[in-house]
Amino acid sequence: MRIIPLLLHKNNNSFKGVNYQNHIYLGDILNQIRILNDYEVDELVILNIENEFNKKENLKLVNTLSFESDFAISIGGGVDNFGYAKKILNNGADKIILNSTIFKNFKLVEQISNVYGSQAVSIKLDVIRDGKKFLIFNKNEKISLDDLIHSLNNLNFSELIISDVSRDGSMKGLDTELVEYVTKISKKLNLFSGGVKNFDELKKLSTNKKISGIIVGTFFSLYGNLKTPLIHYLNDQQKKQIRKI
Amino acid sequence: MSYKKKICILELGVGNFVSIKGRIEKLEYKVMISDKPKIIDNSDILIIPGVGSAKFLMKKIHDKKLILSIKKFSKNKTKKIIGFCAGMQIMSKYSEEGNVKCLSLINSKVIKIKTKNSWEIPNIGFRTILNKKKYFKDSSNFYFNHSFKMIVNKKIAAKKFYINYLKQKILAMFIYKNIYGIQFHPERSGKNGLDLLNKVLDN
Repeated sequence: MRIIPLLLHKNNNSFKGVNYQNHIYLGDILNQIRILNDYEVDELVILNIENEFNKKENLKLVNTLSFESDFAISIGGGVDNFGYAKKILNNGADKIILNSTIFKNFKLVEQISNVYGSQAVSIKLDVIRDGKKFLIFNKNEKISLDDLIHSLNNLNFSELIISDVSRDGSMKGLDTELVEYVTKISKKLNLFSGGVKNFDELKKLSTNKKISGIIVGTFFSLYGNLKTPLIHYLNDQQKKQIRKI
Repeated sequence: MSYKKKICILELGVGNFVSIKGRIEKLEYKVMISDKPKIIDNSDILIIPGVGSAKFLMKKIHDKKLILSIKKFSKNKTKKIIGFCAGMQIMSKYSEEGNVKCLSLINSKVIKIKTKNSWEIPNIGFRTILNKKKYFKDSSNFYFNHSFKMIVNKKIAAKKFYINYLKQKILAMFIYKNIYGIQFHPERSGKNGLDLLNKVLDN
């Protein structure tokens, strides 16, 4: 199982929030990449969280980060057409993350896969729990997670990222019912994010063969009991236990 | 300072050339990214980058009329040609990914990795090389991201290195004369990747 740190960025700086809000400043994103190089992380997910941003500037940043990083990077946020996806991948991203865009445009998934291969495409769903149900909010529309996963199973992409909005930044642990629900119906590589508590939880999750990766924000961004903003990762011993090598 | 070889990364309009260039420059080599036959010819090492489907990469190579340049380069034993991931796979005669005829630099074919469960493919993550020998340290793990695998014809006297994925032996790297194929991404494999890259370029 892969353990993948998450960096949210705007204006070349990285942040971490709770429930997708109240973002805390973590530092210059290039500096974070250099620190993560030393940790030899499995991969990195980078999401642009600006509502509106200059795509040209963002591409420059992707190029710089890709040039600097010793690990694979997945780039998401604002990817809404093939031309832009292509530029992100050609600027060195290893994978592209599509989110709400796919509700309007399933074709985009095929367009990217045909050129770059299905291993270059991930789809991220922001999930909210509503009682016993799991829903995706797209503007004013509520979509059942079950329906959406069944539709996505037929598309040519590799990774399904399930991001639990309700648990984001909470460090309460992953919603195990959500994990079970998704792994039962999804035919893709399944990655989860939202609420990772500690290393013991990651170790336990790593025994579940249907989980391909865990994306970790707060646990790797805020250090110790004082939750000091300081990017870090697993030590070598912990990596060995998770990767089982 | 000792002589460092001239390296050309083949510009195919797709792929991981940014990250490969970054890692190679870290090793203090001079790197060009080009699709010009003259620049390719003048290089000591030619790299075919990965990330991209075999069908698309081959279409690009045909469109740019690079087949002859690549073949000529590969036949010159004083030079070295290296393919990464999809760049290695298109060195084969044929790939199932888009049912496409490839470069035929080595007698091999590329087929889809068969698994019991759909959620086991692609093979993504760090894996350990089984037979280490001189290219790999004791704990050499490298980053893989692929759905297809290369099968080299048994009669071909290539050095082959494998990983074990879902009880299948999957080719991780081969060396055949001056042709090097690397299924994984050394440019995305931390210090181990840099170490291997240095050995392959410097050998």
